[in-house]
Amino acid sequence: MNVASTSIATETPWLLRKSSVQAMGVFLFVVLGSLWALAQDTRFAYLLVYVWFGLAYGALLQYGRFCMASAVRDLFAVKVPRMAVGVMIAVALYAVVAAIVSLAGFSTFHPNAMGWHIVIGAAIFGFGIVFTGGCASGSLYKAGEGNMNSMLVILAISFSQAVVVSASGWWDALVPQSWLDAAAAQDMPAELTITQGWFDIFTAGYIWGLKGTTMAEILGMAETARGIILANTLLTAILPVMIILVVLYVIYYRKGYLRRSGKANPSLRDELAGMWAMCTSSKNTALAGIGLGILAGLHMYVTGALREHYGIFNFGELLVAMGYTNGLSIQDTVFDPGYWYITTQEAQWGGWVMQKLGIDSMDSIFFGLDNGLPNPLLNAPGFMSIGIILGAAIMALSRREFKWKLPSWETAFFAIVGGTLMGIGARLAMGCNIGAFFATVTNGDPSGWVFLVGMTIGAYIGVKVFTWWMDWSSARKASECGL
Amino acid sequence: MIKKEKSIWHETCLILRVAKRRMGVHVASLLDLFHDRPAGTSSPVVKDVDIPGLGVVHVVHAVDCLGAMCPRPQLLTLKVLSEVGPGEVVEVVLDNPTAVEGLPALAQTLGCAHLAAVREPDCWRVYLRKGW
Repeated sequence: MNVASTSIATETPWLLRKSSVQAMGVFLFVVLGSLWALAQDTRFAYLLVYVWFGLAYGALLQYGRFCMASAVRDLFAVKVPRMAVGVMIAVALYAVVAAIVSLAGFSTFHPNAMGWHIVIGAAIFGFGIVFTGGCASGSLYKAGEGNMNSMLVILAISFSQAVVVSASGWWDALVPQSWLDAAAAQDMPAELTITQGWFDIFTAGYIWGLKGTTMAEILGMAETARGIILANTLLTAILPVMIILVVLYVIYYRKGYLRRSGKANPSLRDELAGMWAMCTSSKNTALAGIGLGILAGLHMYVTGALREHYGIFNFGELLVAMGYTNGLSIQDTVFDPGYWYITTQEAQWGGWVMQKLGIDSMDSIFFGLDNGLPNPLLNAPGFMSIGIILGAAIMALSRREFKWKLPSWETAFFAIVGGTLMGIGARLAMGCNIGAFFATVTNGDPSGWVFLVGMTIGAYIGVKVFTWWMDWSSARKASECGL
Repeated sequence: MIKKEKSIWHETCLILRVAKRRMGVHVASLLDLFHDRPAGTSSPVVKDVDIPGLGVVHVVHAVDCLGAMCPRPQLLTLKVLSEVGPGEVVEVVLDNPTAVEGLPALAQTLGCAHLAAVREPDCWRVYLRKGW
């Protein structure tokens, strides 16, 4: 095939380019900000781990144009498996590093509750990502490229989640009486009012009755090296990844590859070479997948080691020790997953702003009991999200890919509606494609694959609706021009 | 007396009208921030383009995806490539890095040749030739 990728040679060396200087400026800003935080209190190192891993995630996501939304969407929209392959590479690598971290005893992972809510939430989320042009992390890195549409998506995700988890009144009619009864039977402090607010009833009356386990626990090998390696890593992550790669190869890549390489009767060797070609067809994406997988595992290790160092289970304890007691949950905790996570901290941003506007949501389980509503300046995972934006900005600036892009009315509308759906879906499914899929399947929790199935169904329907909309609007425009 | 009042009334009206017009201009310029141009259009063109390292290529169709979010660039390119004849070249103009990254894979799926991705200061021009 005749492929030539060319670039108009700009004579200015990298260092002297305006965008490179801006990239270094952003980097310097993060360095100085980190030093300032450490000067306030060295224990902010815990928060800075999130910042710097976020920065690295953002840089790698931008480098590999690692758009996880397109992993499922493009399979249906244009029949291209590029990102699906990239995500599978990242899952395999993350699983291997996560196994090492678990064996070393530093894992920060908690399995998600398994149930129908995952499929439904993931389908709503998957439908939304087709219209927003990116998933939760994708919107963060695209915001770092100067895309204001993605910034709108982040706003929509933040506020829709905050509203969903704290809404009551007519919303409460959405949940069945049996959940309300189950919630009422829970022994919880009265200030949480868990029988009011549909999400509280959903959490206390339904989610708490479900079980979340790892494959090792299911097979009775919990806490053993054999369980971690065989059940959690090989059986839950590596084997499904291999099966998915083979399926992707057979459906989307094999025919074209054999035609291009002129092999009529392929041997097993040819097929393996074809699979390798599929995995390496986009080098940037494959490299980003490898880097992200390794970093996501290392992130758990570093946070786990720091927790051991400070003798804590949650960042909330450290905040209390440093004298910051505002915005903690009634258990003195804040949201602190210890690994890559996106949506919950964005819900906290939305909830915090709403609280400042006089809408208090600390009587909800989500904020009041579990995650707290810390000041965004003390929200450690929140800084991971900001780190992703800044990391992507640094990478985009240094590659001259940064460009302020304003949305059209249509894309802005899609961003707000799609982002709202993503927020609703992420809360129902207890996370997004990162927290509920990427971080779970790599740590032995099979619920992530259920999330992927749901997200795929949602993306399939989303692509159908989006294509219909495009055809309809272009036909309408054509008829207007004809008149 | 009446005359004086009338002039004050006129003056007030005038000031209000100017303020309204200024406000109108201001609001309109704010609205202009959201460009109303449909992000993603395609049109038949006939032009010869000199691609560095590849020579002169005859382009028959141009797809303008400036400002478009995924998956619109991919879907538009797919549509245009299905409409042009075998061996014809399509030019896709994009400023969405993720979509640029996806086009070689899309070309491969469709059996098209990804001729070049030419980097311009604030966009890419990607040339795809439909396969025979």
